[in-house]
Amino acid sequence: MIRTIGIPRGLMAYRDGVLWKEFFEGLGFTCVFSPRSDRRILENGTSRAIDETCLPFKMYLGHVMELMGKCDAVFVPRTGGYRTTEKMCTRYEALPDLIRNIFREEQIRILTVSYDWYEKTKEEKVFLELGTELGKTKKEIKKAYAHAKKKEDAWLKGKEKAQSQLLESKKTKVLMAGHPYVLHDAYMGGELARILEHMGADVLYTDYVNRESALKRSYEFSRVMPWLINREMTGAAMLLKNKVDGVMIVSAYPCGPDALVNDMLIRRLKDVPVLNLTLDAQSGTAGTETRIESFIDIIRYQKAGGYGNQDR
Amino acid sequence: MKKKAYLGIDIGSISTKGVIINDRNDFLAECYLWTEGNPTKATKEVLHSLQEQFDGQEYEIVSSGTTGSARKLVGSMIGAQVVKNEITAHAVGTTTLHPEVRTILEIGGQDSKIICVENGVAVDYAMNTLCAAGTGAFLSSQAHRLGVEVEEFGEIALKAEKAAPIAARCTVFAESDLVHKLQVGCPKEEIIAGLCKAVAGNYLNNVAKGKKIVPPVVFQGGVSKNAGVVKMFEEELGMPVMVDEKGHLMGAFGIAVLAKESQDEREFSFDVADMEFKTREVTCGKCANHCEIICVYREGKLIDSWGNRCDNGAIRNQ
Repeated sequence: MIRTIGIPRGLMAYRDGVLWKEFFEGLGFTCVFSPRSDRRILENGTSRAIDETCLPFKMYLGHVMELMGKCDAVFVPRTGGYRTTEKMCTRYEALPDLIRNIFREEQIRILTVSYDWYEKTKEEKVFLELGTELGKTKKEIKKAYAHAKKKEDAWLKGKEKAQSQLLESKKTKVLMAGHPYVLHDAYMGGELARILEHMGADVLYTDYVNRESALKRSYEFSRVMPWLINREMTGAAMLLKNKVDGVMIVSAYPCGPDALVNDMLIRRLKDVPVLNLTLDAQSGTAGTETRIESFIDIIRYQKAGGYGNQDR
Repeated sequence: MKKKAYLGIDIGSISTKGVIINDRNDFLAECYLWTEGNPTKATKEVLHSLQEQFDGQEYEIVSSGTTGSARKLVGSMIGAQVVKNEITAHAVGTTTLHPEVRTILEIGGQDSKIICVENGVAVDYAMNTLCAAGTGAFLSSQAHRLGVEVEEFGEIALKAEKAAPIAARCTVFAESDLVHKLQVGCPKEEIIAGLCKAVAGNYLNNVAKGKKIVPPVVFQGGVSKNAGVVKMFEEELGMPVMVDEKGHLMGAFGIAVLAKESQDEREFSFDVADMEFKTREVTCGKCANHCEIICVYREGKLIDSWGNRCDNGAIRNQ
């Protein structure tokens, strides 16, 4: 019997977590999130992962471990994407299998749902399947889904509004571009945002731009790029590039889609200062601090029109 | 009244550089020596050397700055007014001496960078990431293997008729390639020329990847003293590459210029060179991040600390 559903605070939880939580709670379940990322969670996750996998996935494993014994089932969806040009990376396509296999000794109970770009399906249908799996009636599920959508929409609108107000700010505005689970993870992007804010800059995020507009704009960026998250990221970056003072592209090593897309993005962001940062498990923040400081200097001295060393 | 002077120190992983300039940016004193893994000791030695060259009767130091990887530590040690990253320091130093510069190439002991300049201000930069292939440390280790002083590399390379092709993407591969070339009887000067070419090629393909190199080009950092690498850069780029005689001091010079411009003036005493400094690394146990906090002590008294990710780890003086 499932009463409490655990949601690992990693990967798509940073994008869809509100929808999931509101949906489950609307159906009468209790939701628990794992705590914010820290070094211990990453170390735990790393100890269970193969070397070659990406940093956010290692972090995700740590979050799954945090939930053990704290819930009746861990929610691990298998998301392939809804369209061929809006797919997810292979890790998402295999997520429940990976988690089940990695933690087979612990025998954790996984709650999952599956959808793929080659099946003609819609989000609502997927949630209907998920709710049915949890033993709820079609009516209950539809109501819970509608309620969750409303909540998600309000949450997104709030973020969008706050961000558009930030665009009026007189401070140095830096747009952090990347996957939501890198940008907002306390131990990854959170650390970079802290450094930026410490230097007196305002921080904006690509995932706080209206999703539909960003997605639409991304088709001007590329008609064939297959990944949804990279679409939302590049589309948002193109929409905001002339409204900010600099763009900081943040990627977590090794990310296949980013390796292809970010290079292209840098070439399209010609008229604004760009810093490309790749995070990995080894490096501390000393190196990133120097890089961010240099970047902020470039923005500020350019605005000031020089170093003041050439008046003579 | 004494004339004003400004101190700049650049503490890199391999070498520590110090300069004193006057308000017309003339060098009053300069020093360059090895850090040898001990930035505090190296800084003291630099200060002693600068003090000897410095005319304390005519000038007084009113402002100081630090840059390089140990800038924070040495900054709190000497009480510097300006503590800044090496990209800005190099850009300021180079544009002060060469206002027309558009591209700055820099290869140091363990890092390399490129700075693109427009209208006298840096507009873009790149640094090498984890790997130190193609930096000064790479050349030193290969010189050791060949039984040649690295300082002689440039001169020997210029004598070679052609450069032996050497894979320099990775120090480990380069080394096995080099051994192979030696075994098949390739002349030493061609191998050395090959290494110089590899350094230039490696730099252009990695650090400078995607950056537009526009003349005038200034090349600096320790490796710029190697005439062989300079020649290879000129061949690869098809444009003249300028090497400033003071190129190795450019970071220290730049930070001294920034100290001057800060107009934040305070008395400076060379006495710090004779004080005892200790650093201690503390692991903070207040949360699961276990930050490593660096504490700096002068004469046993805590003067600065950093490294904490949050306020819980802030160390305050009692």
